[in-house]
Amino acid sequence: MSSDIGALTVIFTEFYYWLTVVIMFLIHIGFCMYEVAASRQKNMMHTLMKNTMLIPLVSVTFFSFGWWIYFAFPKIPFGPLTDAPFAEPWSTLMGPHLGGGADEGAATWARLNGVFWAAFLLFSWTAASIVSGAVIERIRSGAFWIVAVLVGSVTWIIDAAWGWHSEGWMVQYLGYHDAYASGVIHAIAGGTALAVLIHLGPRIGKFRADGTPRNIVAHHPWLATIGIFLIYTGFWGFYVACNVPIYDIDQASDRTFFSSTTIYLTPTTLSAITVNFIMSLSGGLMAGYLISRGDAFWTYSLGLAGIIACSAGNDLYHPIQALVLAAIGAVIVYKLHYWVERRFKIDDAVGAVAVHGYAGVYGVIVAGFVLWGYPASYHADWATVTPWGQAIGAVIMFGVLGFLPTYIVCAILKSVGLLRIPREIELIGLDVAEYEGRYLSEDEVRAAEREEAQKTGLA
Amino acid sequence: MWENWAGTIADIGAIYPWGGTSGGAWEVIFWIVGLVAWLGWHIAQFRFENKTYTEDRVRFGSKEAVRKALDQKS
Repeated sequence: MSSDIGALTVIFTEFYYWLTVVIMFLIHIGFCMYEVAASRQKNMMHTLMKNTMLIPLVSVTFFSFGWWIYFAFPKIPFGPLTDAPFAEPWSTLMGPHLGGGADEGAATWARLNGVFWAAFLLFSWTAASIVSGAVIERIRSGAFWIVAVLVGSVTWIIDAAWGWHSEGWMVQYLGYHDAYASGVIHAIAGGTALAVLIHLGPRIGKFRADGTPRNIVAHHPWLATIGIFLIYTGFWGFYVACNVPIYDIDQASDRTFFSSTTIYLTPTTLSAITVNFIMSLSGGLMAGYLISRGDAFWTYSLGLAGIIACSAGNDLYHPIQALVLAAIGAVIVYKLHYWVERRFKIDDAVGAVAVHGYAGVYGVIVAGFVLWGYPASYHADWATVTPWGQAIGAVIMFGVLGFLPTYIVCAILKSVGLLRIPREIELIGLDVAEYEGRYLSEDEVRAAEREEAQKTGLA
Repeated sequence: MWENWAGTIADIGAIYPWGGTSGGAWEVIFWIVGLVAWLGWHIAQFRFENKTYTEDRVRFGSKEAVRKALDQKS
């Protein structure tokens, strides 16, 4: 911090990630609005609290072990734990620190540890929040929060260590490339949501006796669309947070060339990802509008799916490639959502498994074909991007780390009766505290109002 | 604890109370406090949730109460 340019670079980077955190906060606001809007009126406040309280729980656990997992696990299970003293929860660099003293790497990490941690934490909240929407109106909050910690502070960050760390084994051996987290966040969250839904079962009344699904309409469609708009807005911060703003990408030679990079330290530009973000959103919206015949809920959701369908390769795609791939992805996930709903009686209240899970898997796999042969990392001798490497990666994200651990945890919660709310409460509504006011006192209140109106000559 | 920032500021490391003292023992204690807060919260929440649902079922679980709720627009 003693030279102008050195200090400016570090403090700019610190500010850059701080800004992404603020923008990404909008994702969570959007998820809350969307989820509350999608639930029925009798469940609104419970739905809101379920999503809100994942914030402190995932935060404290991500501080306590999640952050360390990211830096320690890149070689696990094919190598030893990586030494990461700055990320240990008892490191002095996890608190306010000026960069001096004997701590290893303190000059840089003292400034960047907190904002990096927070940016990754916001990814964690997103992963957990994706699951939250799928399971509304019948899951016990306590059970959901166990799953939230599992995906937010354990499973997703293991997949990030393996496939989203520049030294991760999936990058090294599989050539896994997922620059903006199609698989790393969305596929794993989708797989997690599916595992919960299988154990949880559908909401009462979702399926007719003959097995065909009923549409349980969002109580506030307008609020739902604003919620997704906010998720789009926060997604900008998400993309930018996946980059490194200033890095010398020519270190292998004697020259110096500063650029933005992906999280793999491979070159890209903010311009590239900005255009591709918009074009993939556009592709998703255009296809979504047509395939859903103008349904607002699905048009918005498939806009999001379009972005997710391209996120693995949006550092490198041409904008029109992003547009087309997003449109194809949106159609596939829409069709898949309804097929799975009909075939397996899965009640995914907001289409989260499709929009995040299937779109994420599609995004990872399609990048294997379109980017076939590209370097997956900055290491010249590591594996390059291939369809099979990406396909294996998608299975690991959705299945091995997304679906499997949550399926086991939910089986345990179900076996001890802690997964689903009692049927009476589901019928009455989760906002039981309002029951008396809404159902029992209503007639009394109405009579009092009538009496007052007659007394004052208003009726 | 820091009483002033005079001297060689580039040599200053941790600046939170008790930071970097006692061979890192305080940081380990802070970590344990965080873990206990987290696990304790889950335990308290599960107890409270079970108790609440048990009471609510007694209070609102009658056929009459459920019927009344279902008669309303949800």
